[in-house]
Amino acid sequence: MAAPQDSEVLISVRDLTVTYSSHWGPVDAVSGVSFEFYRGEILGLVGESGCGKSTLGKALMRMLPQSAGIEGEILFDGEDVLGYDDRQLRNFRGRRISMIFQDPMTSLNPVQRVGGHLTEAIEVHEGKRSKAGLRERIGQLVERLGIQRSRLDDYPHQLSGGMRQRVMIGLGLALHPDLIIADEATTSLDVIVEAKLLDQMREIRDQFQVSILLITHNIGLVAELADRVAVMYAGRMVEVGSVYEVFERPLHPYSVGLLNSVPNIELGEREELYKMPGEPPNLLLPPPGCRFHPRCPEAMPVCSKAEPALLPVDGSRLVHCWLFQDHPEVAEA
Amino acid sequence: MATTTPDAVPLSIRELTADVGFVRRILRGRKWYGTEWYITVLGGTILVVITAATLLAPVVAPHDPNEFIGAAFTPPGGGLQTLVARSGESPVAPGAELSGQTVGVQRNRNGSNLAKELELDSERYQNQEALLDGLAGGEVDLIFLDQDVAKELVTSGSGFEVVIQELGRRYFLGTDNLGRDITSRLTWGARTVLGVAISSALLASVVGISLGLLSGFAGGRIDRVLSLTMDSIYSFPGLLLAIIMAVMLGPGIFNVAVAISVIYIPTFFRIVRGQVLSIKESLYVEAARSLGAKSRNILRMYIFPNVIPSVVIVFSLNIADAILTAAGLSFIGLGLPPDVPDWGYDLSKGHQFLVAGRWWMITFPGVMITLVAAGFSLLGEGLSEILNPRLSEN
Repeated sequence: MAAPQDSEVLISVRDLTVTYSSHWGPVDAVSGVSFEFYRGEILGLVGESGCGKSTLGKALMRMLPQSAGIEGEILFDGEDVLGYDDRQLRNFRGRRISMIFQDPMTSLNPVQRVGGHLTEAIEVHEGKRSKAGLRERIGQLVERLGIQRSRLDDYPHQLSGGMRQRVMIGLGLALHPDLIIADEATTSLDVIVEAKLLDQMREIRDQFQVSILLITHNIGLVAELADRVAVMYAGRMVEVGSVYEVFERPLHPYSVGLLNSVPNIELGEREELYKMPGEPPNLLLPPPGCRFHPRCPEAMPVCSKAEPALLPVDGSRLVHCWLFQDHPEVAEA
Repeated sequence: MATTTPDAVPLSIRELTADVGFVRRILRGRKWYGTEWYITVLGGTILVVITAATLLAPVVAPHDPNEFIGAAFTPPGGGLQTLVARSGESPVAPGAELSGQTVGVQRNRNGSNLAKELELDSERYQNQEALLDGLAGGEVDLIFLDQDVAKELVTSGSGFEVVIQELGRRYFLGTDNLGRDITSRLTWGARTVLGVAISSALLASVVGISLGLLSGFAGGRIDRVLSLTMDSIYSFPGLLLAIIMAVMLGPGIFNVAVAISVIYIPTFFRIVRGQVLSIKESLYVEAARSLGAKSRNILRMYIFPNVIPSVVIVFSLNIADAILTAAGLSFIGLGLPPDVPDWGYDLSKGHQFLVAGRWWMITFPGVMITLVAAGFSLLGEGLSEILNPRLSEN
């Protein structure tokens, strides 16, 4: 496995804030997120429902609804994604970055054959091709993913959920993008199909050197597949680090709680699952200071007054918590 | 997922995919497409037969649809005449010339037309009694009687005998109040009906679908303006709107089609717009966007094909409805020029005579309208089941 820190930076996100407007006022679904994403790495993005994981993923592709406001900076391979016009954006999507959606049952066009989906994806970006050449290319692609070539003439409803999801992955891969965003890509699959798919995704990464952003609730999946993990809470990134470090010794109290909440088949010694007290905050009125402090078992006075920064702890790991940084003067007062 | 070896495929399926002839493939269609297949074939057959009949009308139709060919109100299958003379005085041998004889005919009966056609010297009587008296009294040598009347007369031993039977024409579906052949009118009228119904439905669907796609996909101000316009058209009573349009455009098949299509545009518009709004938000459209597909392609390859199944059904119902609206327009004289045979016109004319027992004038056009409407509905419904890959399985 490539050591990601040595690799080239693929995406650099600076102070990304995504604002949805609601009836009651603006809501920051993602606020002030900064991180780096390396070429060829698999980054797991975990957190509770509604913490902004999917919004962050969509923001990277600029797939947000028009009413959503994006601020900050997304540099993809050095280019400013937020400055793209429509044509550049279309060219960017699919060719540089592609997305695998949560529900394979509904993410394929029911009236288009499997082969048609793949052909279209390629022709959109590369123009008309010779039929035979194209057929050969998509044939190889789906065989690589364990689907028989003859299934190319089937309609999506004739495939099983796992096969559809592999077709979606095929669509994501068809143009050899640099980044694939897998938004809950395996959530609706059974564990056996899921395990196979994970193997394939890893193989794909090794073979094509694509980066994969794995957005999921499934901590086990991240542990299995990802190189690094980012934990989000209430629109903030609270901890980023290598999977080994974070899962071995989580630093942010939220990460600790999240990992303790994961069901384990060998639960015995803990008797009961850890239940984090409280609810995620209402993002219309986020709590002052650190957004986690009302639920935090280690909350200090400073936590409700000022917001910590996402700063490195022990070298490569980033943590967003006052426990690991110097308290500012103002907060002490 | 286990791979399927050829041996594991049941025999019946291998038989299905075997390379067989066209006819056998049609017969086996049900195995692929289920019962809808027969519905489709049935609907298609009805329409093909009617279309073929109307295209071949000059050959198939026995008479000119506008000619007052027979007597008024000849019942279906009637019209044949019997030549009757006084018993023992039959003046002609079978097959001989009739010239030189005077033939008695009854007013408004097929016999008078027949006599005219055969260029016989004829005497016209006001009613059947006078006619029989005339023959008995020696005023005429022969009389033409309707076949069933003659049969009754001769068997009752009234002193008459039959000279020649089965003269003249038989009217398969009878004649109308002006003595026009209903069979011919139906055959020719199918042109009008299919022409008006199909062109109005096509016009309405093309305009309605395009506007619906535009409105649903573009959204915003365009959507609001179009929706408001369509809703105001929709809220107008349909026939009234068609009447206004027909008055403005004047008579003629195409004008009637335009007038009728205006009523149905909002139906297509609303259905398409609603579908587009939901399909636009579906995951596969989002997935297509995430692959960088152009809006135009999304509309063409993702939204449009998914809208079609619901439109097909509206289309077939619309055709059936358009036939009736056209009939309504004809009824108040705003539809087609009077010399164009039209089922709707016949239907509305015929209902006045139903109470007098002339059931055939209204029944046959009615049956034809029902058949065509059913044909389109069956075809539309069946096709939408077969063509929609989501429904074809499970």
